[in-house]
Amino acid sequence: MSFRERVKNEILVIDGAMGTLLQQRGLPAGWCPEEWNLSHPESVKEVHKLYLEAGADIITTNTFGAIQLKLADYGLGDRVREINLAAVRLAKEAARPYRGLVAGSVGPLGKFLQPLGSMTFDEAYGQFFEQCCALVEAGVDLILFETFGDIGEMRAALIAAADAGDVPAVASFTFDETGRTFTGTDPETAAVVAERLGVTAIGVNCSVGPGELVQVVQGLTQSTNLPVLVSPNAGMPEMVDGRTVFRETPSAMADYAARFVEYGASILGGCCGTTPEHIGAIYQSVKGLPPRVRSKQFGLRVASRVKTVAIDPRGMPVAIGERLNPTGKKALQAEIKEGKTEITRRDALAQVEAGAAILDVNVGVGGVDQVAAMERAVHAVQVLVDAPLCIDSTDPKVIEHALKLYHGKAIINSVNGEEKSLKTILPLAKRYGAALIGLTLDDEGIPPTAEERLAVARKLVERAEALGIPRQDLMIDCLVLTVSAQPEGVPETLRAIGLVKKELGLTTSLGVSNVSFGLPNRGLINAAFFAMALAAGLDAAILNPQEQRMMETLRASAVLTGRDIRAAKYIAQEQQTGGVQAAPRPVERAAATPLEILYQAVLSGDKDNIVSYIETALAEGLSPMELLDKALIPGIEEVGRRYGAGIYFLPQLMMAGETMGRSFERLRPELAKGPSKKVGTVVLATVKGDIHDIGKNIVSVMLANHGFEVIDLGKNVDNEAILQAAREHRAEIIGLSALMTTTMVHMPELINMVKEQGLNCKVMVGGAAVTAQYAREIGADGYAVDAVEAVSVAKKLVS
Amino acid sequence: MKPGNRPSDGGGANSCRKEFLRDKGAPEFFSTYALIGRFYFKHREVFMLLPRVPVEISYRQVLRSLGTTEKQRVHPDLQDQINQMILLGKSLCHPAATLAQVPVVLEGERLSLGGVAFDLPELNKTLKGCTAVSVAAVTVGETIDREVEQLFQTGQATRAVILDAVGTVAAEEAANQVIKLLSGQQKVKGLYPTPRLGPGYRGVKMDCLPLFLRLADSEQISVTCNEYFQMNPVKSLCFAVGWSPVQQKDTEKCNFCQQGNCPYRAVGTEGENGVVF
Repeated sequence: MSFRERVKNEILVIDGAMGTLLQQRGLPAGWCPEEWNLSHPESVKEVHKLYLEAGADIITTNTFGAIQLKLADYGLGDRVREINLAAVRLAKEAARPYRGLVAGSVGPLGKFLQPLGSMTFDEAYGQFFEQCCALVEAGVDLILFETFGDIGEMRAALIAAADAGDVPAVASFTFDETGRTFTGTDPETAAVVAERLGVTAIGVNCSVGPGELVQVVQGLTQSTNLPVLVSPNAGMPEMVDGRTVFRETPSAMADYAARFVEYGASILGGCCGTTPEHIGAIYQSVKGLPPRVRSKQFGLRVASRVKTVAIDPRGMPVAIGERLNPTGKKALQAEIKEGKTEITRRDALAQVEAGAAILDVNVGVGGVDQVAAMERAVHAVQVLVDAPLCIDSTDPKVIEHALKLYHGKAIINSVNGEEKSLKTILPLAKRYGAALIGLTLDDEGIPPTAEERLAVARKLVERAEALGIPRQDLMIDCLVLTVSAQPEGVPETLRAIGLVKKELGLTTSLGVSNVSFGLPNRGLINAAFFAMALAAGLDAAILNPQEQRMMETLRASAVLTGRDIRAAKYIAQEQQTGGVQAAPRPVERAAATPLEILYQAVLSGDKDNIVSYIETALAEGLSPMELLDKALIPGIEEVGRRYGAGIYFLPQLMMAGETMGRSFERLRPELAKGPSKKVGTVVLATVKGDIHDIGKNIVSVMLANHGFEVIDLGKNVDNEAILQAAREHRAEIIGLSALMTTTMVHMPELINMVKEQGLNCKVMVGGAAVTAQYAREIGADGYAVDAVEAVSVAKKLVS
Repeated sequence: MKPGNRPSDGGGANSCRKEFLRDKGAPEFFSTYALIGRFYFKHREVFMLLPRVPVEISYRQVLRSLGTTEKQRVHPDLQDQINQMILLGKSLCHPAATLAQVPVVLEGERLSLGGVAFDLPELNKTLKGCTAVSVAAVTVGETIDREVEQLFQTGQATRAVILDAVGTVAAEEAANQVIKLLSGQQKVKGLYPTPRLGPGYRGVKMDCLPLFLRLADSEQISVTCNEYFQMNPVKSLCFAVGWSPVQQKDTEKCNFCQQGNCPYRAVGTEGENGVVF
């Protein structure tokens, strides 16, 4: 009986560790274990037999690292086929008397795929394809991809396996104590992505001990109806006398195995540290138990590397962010042409922050290499946000490239009823495990009636299912026409949504904003139509989530259509946005007079209102000098005091500084008419070699706000340039900043130059590595530990 | 190195011993690099390039990096600015890393990493018992630093200092993420990370930075240092992590600068997630 048949009907036991048993038989440390398939076949076969004797139904070949990339480390890179064929032959010979099944073991490459690593999808695919072809040729019953920590790599492996031949594939991941893989994938997401790539079973191996895997196993069995494999380590590894040991006993492992069967697992075994004794105990514990039948209904689920999003006809409607589309956006068009991704990244984040669950990505700009542009966009976005992506292109090459790069289950936007589209797009969805948006148009165009659009939808689902794409992975877009041109089209679209859901049981999506082209105040029309579509049963909409009205319509409609049960999400959102009590401003007493208001404004960093407060004060007859001396300067001094006392922190200091900056800007014309208020002139610089200048910049802001004229020369400045500026501006002070001991040596050099040249100028120093003692030693006139102290030191130096 | 901050060099130059080269009469500096280069090409399997390291930047971490304490109230206006800068920072950061696992050999007082001998007692102490060492370079790129400069130049100092803190947090997070990834792989071998070791800290001399960068092959992500051992881009780190069967708890605090309210000054650290500089 085949693996596919057996796994449906019985609990299967799979073997345990291979490497340690080979080491017990003399495999030297650092030797290639897979090479023993050629040089020590009897030892390998002996290990297989031990596990079969213990009760294993499935044995795994000694081919975990029999892939070109890894074999090349041992100079065996050209013997992939030979080693895999030998390994399978040994396993089959051992299994034959026991009627055992042979799983071809394939391990990870040890390299991360782009964008997390440097390996391309095609490189990884090539590696896996070569090994899988050899395993298929040798006649394995199944291919077991085990100990994978990266979903992107697993995708490449599973696609390669499918191309290598019609052999069942099992995808087994390794999860850490947090319940996620190394690259952040949770069990549900692993299941969603792998299942759609056609695996026969999914599982977890290695990782941690069985106790730590309970939640992972529950997560897997609740996320898929496929058989689930569980092969934990024999506990967490410990080092004893320089050797790694695993302490979980066979009986404890067996107890856990029975528990995993209760959760729904049906292939049980072990990984690191397990022995034939462990497998024997597991066999005794689980063999004969009936597999638990799981028949949970799963709708459309899509996934990023780290998160699954369900589009559920009974759940909240989903917003698909439309902003990553250059149509009508000149800045984004320019960015795509220039090969940049700054707007793309910014808009991706902003849309997710605004509530988009999925992001549509379109790079359709004329004259641009759209394959390369899509690569940049997908790479940039998929590491930035956790929202799954909707790959939006009319070019199958662009879509295919994006699907290779994407470490999740994407949506293709879109396929339609045209024969050409069906023939090119559906195979891509099948091969790369993607969902689809199906447009209800065909070779004749957009059908005018709802019934005709339903017919196109029916054709789409039939053709998808014929290729093996599950019907729930097709989301139908019933297409909305522009209401100003074709007002009769809107009711047909709404009717079509209802028909598709009722007759075909599929989810629906819509590009909502098409409806309002040509009309003023489009947002209003869009929101009204969106509410109507949601009432008709719409499940997802491609829209701008940063339009508050649209997202409010979505949330409110979900309550009114019963998709937000007990309005829980609505209430939570409202509490979050409207129910938070604003913290009181750090004002200690109510401001009454104009001067007090100004003083408080500086304290609270109220830069937006400071100018209007100044206008009021001036209108009440106060002089600019009074405002400075009695409110603004005392205010910034109090801010400095609070900063020094640890009551305020750096941003508050800067907010007060900006407020002072606006004040000076506003008062400059009046102050220019009176006597000079300039306290002194300071030339500021970060010394030669020092490329960090944030501290110096903060000092610059503070000095300027205390009436100093600051000549800021920037960073990495030659001593000669500093002296020249000091002479040119008749500076009273040179302020030097140095970050490191390697660069602060330029400070004494400059001080000596000032003395040698007889410059009438004081030198104050500061910076992370500079101490008061060092300042004294080099003969500096002043030293300040921070920006606030720098002001007082500077004032003393000019007094 | 801690991004946006700087270490002292803690001593003189030429702390990395290259006697094997002296014997051959080769020019010390360049020959050492050439040797490491050969090491790499011979052991390419130990090198890893991570062009995009996913990082999370939390509001709380940014606040901490800005020097706040639990007692300080944060005005809603400032909260908004911090959230805006986190968003902007995330869109400007390009976290990337290179890392290499290098052989570690301890002979007496002398420790050799990837074929380069060091005579640094503190380094030896931390890496004692390690079976391997990973040397990594991490950066969040220079875009964020350019934006900070731009904000200062346009008088938006508050946003500038917040964005600078966001960049610092992002680089730290990228480093933590790299160590987390490696830890996951090493834990199954029963190995745990030592605290991070970087030039300028824990007795590792600043003049070791070029060697560390070369070991990590940092040029792959355009991370370099100047003749004063300052890293470019500024928001970059270079460090080594040892892999030991013994979990180490690190309680060392940074006392490098004079800033009493620097968040790193007061932070004790532990294992892989802590800030150790």
